[in-house]
Amino acid sequence: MSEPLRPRDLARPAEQLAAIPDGGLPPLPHPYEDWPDPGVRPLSDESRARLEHSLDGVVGLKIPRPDSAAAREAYVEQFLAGLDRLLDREANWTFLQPLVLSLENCVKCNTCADACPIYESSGRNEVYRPLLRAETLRRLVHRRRGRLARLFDRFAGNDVAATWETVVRLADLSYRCTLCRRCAQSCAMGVDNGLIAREIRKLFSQELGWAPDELHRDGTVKQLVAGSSTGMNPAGFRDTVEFAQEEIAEQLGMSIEIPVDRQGADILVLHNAGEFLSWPENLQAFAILFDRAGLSWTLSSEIAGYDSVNYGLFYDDVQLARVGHAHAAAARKLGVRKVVIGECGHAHKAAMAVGDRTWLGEDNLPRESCFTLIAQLLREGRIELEPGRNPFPVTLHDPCNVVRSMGIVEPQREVIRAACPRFREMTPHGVDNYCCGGGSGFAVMSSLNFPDWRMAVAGRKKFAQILDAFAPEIDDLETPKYVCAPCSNCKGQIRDLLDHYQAWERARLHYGGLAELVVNALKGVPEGFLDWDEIALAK
Amino acid sequence: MPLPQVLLYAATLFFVGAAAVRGARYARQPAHLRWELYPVAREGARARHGGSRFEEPEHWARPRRVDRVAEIRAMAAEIVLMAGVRRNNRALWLSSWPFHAGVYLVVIWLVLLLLGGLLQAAGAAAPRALLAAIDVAGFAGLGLGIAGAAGLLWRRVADPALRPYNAPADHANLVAWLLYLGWTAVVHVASAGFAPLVAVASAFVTLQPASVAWPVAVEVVLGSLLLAYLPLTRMFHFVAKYFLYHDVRWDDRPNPRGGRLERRLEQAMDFGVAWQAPHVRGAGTWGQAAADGSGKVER
Ligand code: SF4
Ligand code: SF4
Repeated sequence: MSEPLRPRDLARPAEQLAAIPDGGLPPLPHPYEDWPDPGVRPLSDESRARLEHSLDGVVGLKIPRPDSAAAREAYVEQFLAGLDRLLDREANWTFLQPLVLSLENCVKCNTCADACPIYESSGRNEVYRPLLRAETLRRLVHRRRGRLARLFDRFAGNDVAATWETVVRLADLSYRCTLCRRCAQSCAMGVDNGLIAREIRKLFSQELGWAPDELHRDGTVKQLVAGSSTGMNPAGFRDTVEFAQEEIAEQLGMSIEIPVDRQGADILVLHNAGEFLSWPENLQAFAILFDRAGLSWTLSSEIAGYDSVNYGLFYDDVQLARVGHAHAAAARKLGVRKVVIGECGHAHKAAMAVGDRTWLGEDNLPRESCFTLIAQLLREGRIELEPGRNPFPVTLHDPCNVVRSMGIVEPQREVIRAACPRFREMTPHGVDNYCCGGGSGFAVMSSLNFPDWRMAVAGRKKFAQILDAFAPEIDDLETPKYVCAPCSNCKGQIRDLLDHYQAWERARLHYGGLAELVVNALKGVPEGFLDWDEIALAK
Repeated sequence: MPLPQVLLYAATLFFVGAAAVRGARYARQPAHLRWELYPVAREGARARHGGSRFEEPEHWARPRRVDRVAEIRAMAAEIVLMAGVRRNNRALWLSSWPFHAGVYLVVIWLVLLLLGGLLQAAGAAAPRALLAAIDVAGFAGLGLGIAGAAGLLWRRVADPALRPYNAPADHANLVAWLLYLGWTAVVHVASAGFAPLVAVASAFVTLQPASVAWPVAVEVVLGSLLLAYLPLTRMFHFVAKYFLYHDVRWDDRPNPRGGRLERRLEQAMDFGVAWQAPHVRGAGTWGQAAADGSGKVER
């Protein structure tokens, strides 16, 4: 455990409040006893001079250092104005009730700390204790109260000063939490530190315009302008679809049409466009699967209609509503009966749970999870599997947004149990799972030394869980092992983790989606959709 | 009327008023976006694995089943046994449960005293069973409450993880309980029971002046001060916890097109977006902002 840190210490002028010590992190299971653990690389002198890093020496938000005291003061004033709006019933109607309840009722018991993978994986670094972030905001909020309440500031412990240091560190601190809500689940009071972290992010985005470029400029804005946060425009999307059809024909000798903009189709499938670029086999697997099941379905080439991503969920309610509206507009234009969300956890939550209350009126179309649909196809015998074609060990990563935030737990298990005879659960799993460490946008935040932190700290718990799940075969390099990560962001994070920890070389660990496993075992489809020789070659 | 009695009336009114105001404040918030957390007890058997209605194919077309019995069972386990704390923080539970159980028993004890007071006011003597129940609830409540509050205070002082977050108020809250419970216990152990309090309760319900010995008068003053202090502190969380669970954590109400919830949400969409970052400044209402599409790129 590091030095005690009090919320008021965030105001302390210091080059850096905390650091991730090399080798000071919890050990990883076998075969990583000898792993050198490079920790987090220090920033270059140029970055240190240019960017704020005074929380922990990690840069995720890239806040430029203001050049004058007046500029710093102006930011503090903006922050305080944002704080007021956060508590305003019109400006923040979207989450006011949950926020106020979470702010006013924490009993400071610290139970949440033991549930937090970031805190635990950092070697219990005090700066990542969930209570630090929440309590800092809480005390700042209390200091905005009336004069009478302010008389009791000392007694009530409201001792956090609103300085430039506090503001900038609080902003950074909101990006040291994956919004996984594991802490909230452990809190008997029902207080949600994940929600509080998101509200802090929102304040900075909606009032000061501070958000990670990967989520805002190159995320929601790009999606709303170009069509996808990947930058893929509608023409590029059509090319991708054509390429996927050719790949299926070449690899399996099957002629599968991937319908685009088919008016009046029953289902619009919304995939995360990251799949098209990084894992086109996922798009192909869904196309084969739906074709075999005889579904009436289509993709859309409308702006945002071919990218289920909604990064607004992570940092900004206005962007959340805008992207949701664009998704609904694409569905409406095609006149589909329902929208099915592909393998993307946050897209599930943005469209179906949180979005259940932003898709209003004619936007309010039925939405369903692909996991539920695939399980139904299996149950109804519309697809049949030959599980012997998946003889390798498989484990399942649960995307937090799908399980803990939506309660979709069993359908994906029903499918994987039917498709993979050597399936085993991680411990813990389902609604008690651990985040992959790429949640809340971290998977795409890749500048400066943020990825080091994401690998060493945020993803550490998940990587340990994966190793434990395969413990019986971990030394058997003849047996490839498959981590099923049915979510694009989780998949990106797990890809990075396996690369970072050289997990193919050390333990033959590979990763992929759920639809790929299904199609690899699908009756009527030639064998070899998952080509292990090719996978090995690509490593 | 003696001052302690006046204080008791004032504190009771303040407590009830504050509970109502706090409850109304939480209840009157605008409809918010869905933010439930699974498992949700009212999902019934499915709650065992944390499942929801989203697991059903075409869930929107199926009737929504709400298992109220499971919900009440979960609430009872939470209230009576503090199941969440027990599961996730056993060490804390060892102090927290006795404290809360003690407080519940003290509340029961006060209700029984009022009952005894009512009977006395009506000219009937309190039955022996009632007096026995008063003794059991009173002494058990005071004992558990004192042990729990002392344990909680010790944790606050001794646990290095809690210390950086402690405020004087956190200690004061527990000290206030210890003062009241401790004094009351001493007074009634010394007088071997709670008989004088039945007379106080009778006077209280009939608005008649009560004449009591000074130790009981001090007890009434301490109790009144604690009652009035509670709503000003975090210890009032029993009101909030209802909303934290029912309006947020377990709020999985769907939003069918044209329903009441959708109408409330549509009203909220008419609120102005007052935020000032470049991509939202001047966006008009929430509804207009959602529909204006492209957003802006400025940083
Ligand atoms: S958020 Fe909950 S678990 Fe964490 S300190 Fe507060 S009351 Fe305890
Ligand atoms: S939401 Fe997850 S990462 Fe964030 S504080 Fe809670 S447990 Fe930790």
